[in-house]
Amino acid sequence: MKASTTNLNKRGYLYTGIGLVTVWGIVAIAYPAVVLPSPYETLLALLELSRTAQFWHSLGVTFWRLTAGFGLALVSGVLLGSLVGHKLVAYQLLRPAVLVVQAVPPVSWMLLAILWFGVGGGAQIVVVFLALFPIFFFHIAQAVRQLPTDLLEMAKVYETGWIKTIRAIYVPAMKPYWISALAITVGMGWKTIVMAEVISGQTGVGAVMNTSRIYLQTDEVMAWSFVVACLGVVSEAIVRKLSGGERHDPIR
Amino acid sequence: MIRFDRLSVTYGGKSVFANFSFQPALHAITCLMGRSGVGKTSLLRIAAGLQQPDDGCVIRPEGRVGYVFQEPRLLPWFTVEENLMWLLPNRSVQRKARVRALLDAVGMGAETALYPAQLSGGMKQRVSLARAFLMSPRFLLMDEPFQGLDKQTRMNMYGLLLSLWEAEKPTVLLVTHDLEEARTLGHHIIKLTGSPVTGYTELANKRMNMEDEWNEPSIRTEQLA
Amino acid sequence: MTIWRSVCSLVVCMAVISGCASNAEQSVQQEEAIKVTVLTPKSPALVSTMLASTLNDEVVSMEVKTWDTIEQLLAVVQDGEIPFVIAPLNIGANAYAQGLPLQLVDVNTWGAMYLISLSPDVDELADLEGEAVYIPGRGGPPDLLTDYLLSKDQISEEVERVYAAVPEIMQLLASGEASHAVLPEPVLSGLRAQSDHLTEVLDYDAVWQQMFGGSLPQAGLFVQREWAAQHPEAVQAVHAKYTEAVARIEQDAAEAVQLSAELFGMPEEVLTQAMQRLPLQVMQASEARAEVEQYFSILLEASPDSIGGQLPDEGFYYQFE
Repeated sequence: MKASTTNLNKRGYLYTGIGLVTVWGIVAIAYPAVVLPSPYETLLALLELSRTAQFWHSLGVTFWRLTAGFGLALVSGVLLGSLVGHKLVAYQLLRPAVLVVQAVPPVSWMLLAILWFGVGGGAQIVVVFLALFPIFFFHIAQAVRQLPTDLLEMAKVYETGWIKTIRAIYVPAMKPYWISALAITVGMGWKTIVMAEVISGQTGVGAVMNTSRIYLQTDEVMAWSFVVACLGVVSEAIVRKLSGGERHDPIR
Repeated sequence: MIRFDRLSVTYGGKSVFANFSFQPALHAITCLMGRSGVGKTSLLRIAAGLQQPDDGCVIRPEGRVGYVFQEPRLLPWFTVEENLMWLLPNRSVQRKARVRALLDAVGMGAETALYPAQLSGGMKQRVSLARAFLMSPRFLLMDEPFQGLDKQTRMNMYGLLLSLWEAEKPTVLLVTHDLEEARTLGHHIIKLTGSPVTGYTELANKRMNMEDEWNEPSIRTEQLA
Repeated sequence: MTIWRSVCSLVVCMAVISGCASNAEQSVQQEEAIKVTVLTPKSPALVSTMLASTLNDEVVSMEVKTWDTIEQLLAVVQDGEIPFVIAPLNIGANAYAQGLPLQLVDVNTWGAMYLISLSPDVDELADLEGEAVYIPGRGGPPDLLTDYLLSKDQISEEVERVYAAVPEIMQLLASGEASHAVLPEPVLSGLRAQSDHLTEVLDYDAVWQQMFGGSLPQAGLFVQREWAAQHPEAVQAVHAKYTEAVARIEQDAAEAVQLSAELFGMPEEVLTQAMQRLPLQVMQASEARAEVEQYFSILLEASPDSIGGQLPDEGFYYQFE
């Protein structure tokens, strides 16, 4: 039963993909490539790009920035999240501040971060950090607050020791929050870093996209968008695979 | 020895125990009774070290503690078998055999691979009972452990408890509302009295000074606020 | 999104069909003025466009709209509803190379680009060694020309190039994060009004004149090719309006400034100052071709993709009858 739905799911993706590409191809006939490149032109542009050193260098630079911003958000989000999860007062104090950080659009942060940190590359990392930090913060705080106290009491009475308690209670109880936080942040991280680089990038995927854009090379913009979308999806899939969690489908 | 010494407990601004002292008999089953809400659960939690009294102290016997909570408190992500296995030290030999034997004894031998969500309330309670006996506790706390079980299962559980008790002679504090159950199981039956609880009356005492036959185990004192 | 596109394409198709029909009607009743829209960026050409649109004429009545991003420009050109657009020459050439039916009518924006410094220690290009210069848009004409001029002075390697959009550069200059930048007019006049110490390190137009004996062409008026073929008299009339508008501005800029200051979002005095520094000249594409090609060949050498990989052919330049 489970296997068959998964199969159907995979086939569903395949059919949807073929359908979308077909519609895209048909609509593209009506437009010049500079407005809407066809799937074939986009594929050619992608192959052409992938043969250049700049393609891989840009990906590397962007990936490094993403990792830095992501890492900062992860560490500080988990630390502060655990703290406020345990101390209600700290949560009540910090929550409004983090909500404000989350409410400000990443684009606004980008413009401010350029002023504060310059355009050198720090600003992009900061924006990724600010976009992802609240997600870790709230997920971990929630995870800690939802820890099953009854099970922890039971473990205490039975003197299981902290290693076993962490492995058997903390990890599984917090796992849904972890998976959710990581899956949201890796996907969002790619989009945010590229957006930040488009606005102000000297280097990286977004900067190259912007150059393609002002040179009216829409096929390259399309190819890059495709690459970034794939990276986001693949990163999310890797997170879910590693953590053993299925993608939550709200319809099912 | 185990002793509750001049306990005072307030809970949510309400005084539950005031200067309450009680020394249960060692190596005997003591049934605790009393109105609901009188603080029987609090007493067990204090005995287990899960809750601190506002005043007074608890002296507990050294050694393993077993606790059958009112709710089963099983790990939902573990199977029935794993719920017992993870408590045993990894290196203990034949731990699987012991777990199997206990689960058989509580009548759960066929459901070892199921998850708690797949079990009925009574089945979960039986797993919880098996878990309590697993570590051969010196001190066993049971909070209405047979509630919700049908009569036949309950009878089986009584037999099981008594035979396990025979084997290891732990000190048992058993909270119950059922006088019949208390009569069947308890060597002593205690009713907490007063509001807040200040004392108790002994409803029955089947055995006299059993503890004298046993060497006093080493004691652990917890001096509390 | 693709569904949206196909809906759009249907709408566009219907618009094209109905547009053809109305064009036919218009050619029957010649007496009434043809309504044309000019799409302009918020660049110096906006000033003359605003004034030109007020000049009465029996042939055309002009309406002005503005664009901010290249995507808006492309969408309008693709849509075909708006016959005239003002755009940087390189973008026009690039769009032409990509198969969009644009023709250059007039070159109307020249020079108007400066490398400035707020630092009192910088007087000339050589002083920028080891400094960071902020440039609007990587790979755009300001970048390519700056690189070209720095290479001429052989200090290209020593000057760090940092890229950001004009509004960010203005903020970075204001905050002191940046002190050297390449900026166009009239933005530069806005900055001049706020800073006590501003050095023009490089006047691109002046350097260009020295090197090539002509002004540096920057932007121009483009027309949709088919529309122009059907309405040569309208193209002529629009060109005439621009010529007249520029002549008036040279005498007195006040009226034009008043019309456009709000669209620029800057005070009239500042815009008036900027106008004094903008070489105003409307030159027909066919006459300006040599200057334009000179400019394009520099861009082509620096970055072929910037103008679509080749010099535009004959068909790019609109021929007046």
